[in-house]
Amino acid sequence: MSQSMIELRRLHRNFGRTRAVNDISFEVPRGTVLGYVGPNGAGKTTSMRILATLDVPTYGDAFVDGFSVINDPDRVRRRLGFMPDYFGTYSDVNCWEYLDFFARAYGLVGPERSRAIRDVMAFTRLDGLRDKPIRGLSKGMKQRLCLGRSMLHDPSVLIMDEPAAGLDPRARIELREMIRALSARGKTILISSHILTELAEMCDQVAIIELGRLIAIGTVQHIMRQRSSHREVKVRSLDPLESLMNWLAGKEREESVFDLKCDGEVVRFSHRLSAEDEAGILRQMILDGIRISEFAGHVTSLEEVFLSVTQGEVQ
Amino acid sequence: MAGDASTIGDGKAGSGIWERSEEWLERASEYLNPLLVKEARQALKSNQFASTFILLMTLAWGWSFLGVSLSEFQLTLGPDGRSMLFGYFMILVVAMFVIVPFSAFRSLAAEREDGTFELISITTLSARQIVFGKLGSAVVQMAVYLSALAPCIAFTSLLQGVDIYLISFLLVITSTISLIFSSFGLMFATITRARHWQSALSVLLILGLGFATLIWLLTALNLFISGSGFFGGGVLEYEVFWTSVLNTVTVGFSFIALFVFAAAGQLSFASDNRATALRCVMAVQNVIGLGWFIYYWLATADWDVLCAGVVTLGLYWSVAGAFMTAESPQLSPRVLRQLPQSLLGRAFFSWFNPGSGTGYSFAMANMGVAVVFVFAMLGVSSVLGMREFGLPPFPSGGADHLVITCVMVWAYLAAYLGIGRLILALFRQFIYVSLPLAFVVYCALHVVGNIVPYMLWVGADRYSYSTILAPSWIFTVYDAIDGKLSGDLAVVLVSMSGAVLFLVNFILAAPEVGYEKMAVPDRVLKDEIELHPELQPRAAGSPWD
Ligand SMILES: Nc1ncnc2c1ncn2[C@@H]1O[C@H](COP(=O)(O)OP(=O)(O)OP(=O)(O)O)[C@@H](O)[C@H]1O
Ligand SMILES: [Mg+2]
Repeated sequence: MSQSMIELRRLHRNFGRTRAVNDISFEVPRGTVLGYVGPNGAGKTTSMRILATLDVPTYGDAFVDGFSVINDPDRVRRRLGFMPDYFGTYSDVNCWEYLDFFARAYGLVGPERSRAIRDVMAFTRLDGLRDKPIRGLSKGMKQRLCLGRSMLHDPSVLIMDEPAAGLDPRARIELREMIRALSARGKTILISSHILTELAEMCDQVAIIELGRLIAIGTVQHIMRQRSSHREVKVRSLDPLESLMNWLAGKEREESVFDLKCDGEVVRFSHRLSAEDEAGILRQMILDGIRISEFAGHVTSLEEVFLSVTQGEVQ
Repeated sequence: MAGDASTIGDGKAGSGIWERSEEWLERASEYLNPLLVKEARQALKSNQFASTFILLMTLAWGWSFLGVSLSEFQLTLGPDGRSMLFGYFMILVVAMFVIVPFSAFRSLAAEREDGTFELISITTLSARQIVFGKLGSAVVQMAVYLSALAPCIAFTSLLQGVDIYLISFLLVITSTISLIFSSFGLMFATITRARHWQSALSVLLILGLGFATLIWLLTALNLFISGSGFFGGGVLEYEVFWTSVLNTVTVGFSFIALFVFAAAGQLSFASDNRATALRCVMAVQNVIGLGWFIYYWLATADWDVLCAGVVTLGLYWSVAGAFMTAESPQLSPRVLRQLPQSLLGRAFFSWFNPGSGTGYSFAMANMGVAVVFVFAMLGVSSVLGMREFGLPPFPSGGADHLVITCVMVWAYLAAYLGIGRLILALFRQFIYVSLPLAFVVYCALHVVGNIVPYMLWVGADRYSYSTILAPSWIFTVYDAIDGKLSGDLAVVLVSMSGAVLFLVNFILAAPEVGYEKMAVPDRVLKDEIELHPELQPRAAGSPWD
């Protein structure tokens, strides 16, 4: 039995001529939070809907906990919570009735159902809004209610399509904490978002897609290292800058570093070395008596990765 | 933990009768369809529902007031009771024939437009449960309207000229038809998701329901006028009463089942088996239909009743067959897992599997049952004196027209469905064959098949049946019933082409019976055992498996 909770296998979905999903394959191990990013129209929603058994692939298959979304949608549905990019609410229904209805629809009965609703309301901090009509909820509250709905049957896999869209900073932070808490409970989460700084903080890995194709998958650092050929390092020293510059100039002549430049208080250089050799340079500096107060590889942000990886084409 | 079950109502132990009944309701709702519970809660809060209810009440009381004040003190005299009742009946029919079915249609259509349908569909509720939930809400709505008017209707039964049979007859039939329309409305809502098509369908549905209301009110008015003779006044024959009620209810409920399963099929997941349940309902309908025609044949000893039965079933199967032959012959792995493997199982059950070829054969086999029955009865009655068995004697005017009609109906069905199926199979090579496309193809086929020969016939200045009309089933079957077809070449032509097209299609359907059962994946088997530990895998060996 495979360990991955989500697997896309050569997934294709065409809408007429549009290839919304064009041969995407990847796996998500149990307990991982995978960020799903890509420009508008990349095919995120389409592939997530296929995973949620709301659509069928033109070719290929997808699996949730080992069950095919085409042939065993009922088994997939028992294990999967889906939070779409719309709310889907009813008129004349309050929060509790809304959750109660979906809990019933998931086959929860009696005390089991009351417990599930109570837990979900506590987790999403909706306790105070029990009798509030849904039509009167703010966007953030609705979003929490929808998260609550998708968690009622305690699914092991959660698929969220842009849950952070339209939330204020505090609500976003709360959402991030909820997702972290869910991940700590061992849930496997696939989450799409355009707010990349948020996403980077809550995801273990990211998958970047464009024009229906998977461009990169892995941790942000891993993708960056794969993509760019060099790495930039920033050094600060307690000694006068000249000694540090001279020392590094020697290395530049050896051609192990390049792009050496003095930038006010700090010295920057680039190299194509392994992480091992980078550590070697630092060690040698210290052994040669240079008092280093800071030595930092430039941390690439998800935004930079995103921009360097995608082309910005639309179909 | 005993108290936990009632925490739904916040766990407060109810003391008053109100709390008590609420608690009891909550507990009962445990066994109800979730959609029904949700919609009942919504209805209790919604203005629309309350206002409709109040409007109905006002109308009914207004009518009562008017009726009473007009007839002054002559309440218990004269046939006023009937006109009073008809007033209430009109209000009730509008509510039951228009409001209830249309709200059922809108309620499902709105779920699909608002995206809430998607949220429900990925829960563990099945498509069938969803449709039944919606139908249940329609029933509750019907019950509420009925109970709003019940006091008024009970009141008229005290008046003269109205008898309890007439009232109950009308109420039973009205409720059954309302339920048929509601299930039809639900099926109608599943046809399309596009908003502009939905609005076109709304208009169509409203027009249809309005027309049906009018027809039913006119029929009822007719009954009311002749009422004292037909139902009241001691002329009421219990048998007529019970058979017409039973007839409406059995046929009606079979159509409700048909619409519900069709709607559920449309809503179910793409890889699900959408055909088998529907075909079971159709086979049952075939038996019910044939059964009623046999009943009336026995009751009247008129062989033309059987003739009408065969033609009616022919029309039924031409519609049902058109949809079945539009099905794709490709079976999903999900369906393939459940196929029977034994020879016996295949020979019998394969025709219930999805697929155009099996659908064609299924329609022809069911039609065949009716035709063979008529032939068998004719054969038996010509050899035996049937009177001894209480059966109608051999038709005195000969059985030619009966035999010819039966053969023609079967042959036309074989030919039209056969050609339609071949055309759709050709289309399927290039494009996806949807139900609307199949509908258009069959409409074109029937129009061309009937109109073109008719034009030629008119052009040739003919006044009686001529062989030119052979492709047209409407004219040919019409004249066959009249007995004008004996010895005409058309009989041979139609039978031959029917037989040929049947053979071609039957042979082409053969691969659809040959599907191999697909093994269920281990992961699924394991999950099944975890879910239902009490169910041991059934030992194979039944000859039907
Ligand atoms: N039902 C549909 N019919 C036709 N085309 C569709 C349909 N759904 C999606 N598409 C097309 O498929 C492509 C991918 O759409 P999708 O919604 O998956 O993108 P996305 O990555 O979710 O974009 P966004 O970031 O804007 O949400 C788009 O070109 C879109 O126009
Ligand atoms: Mg999207």
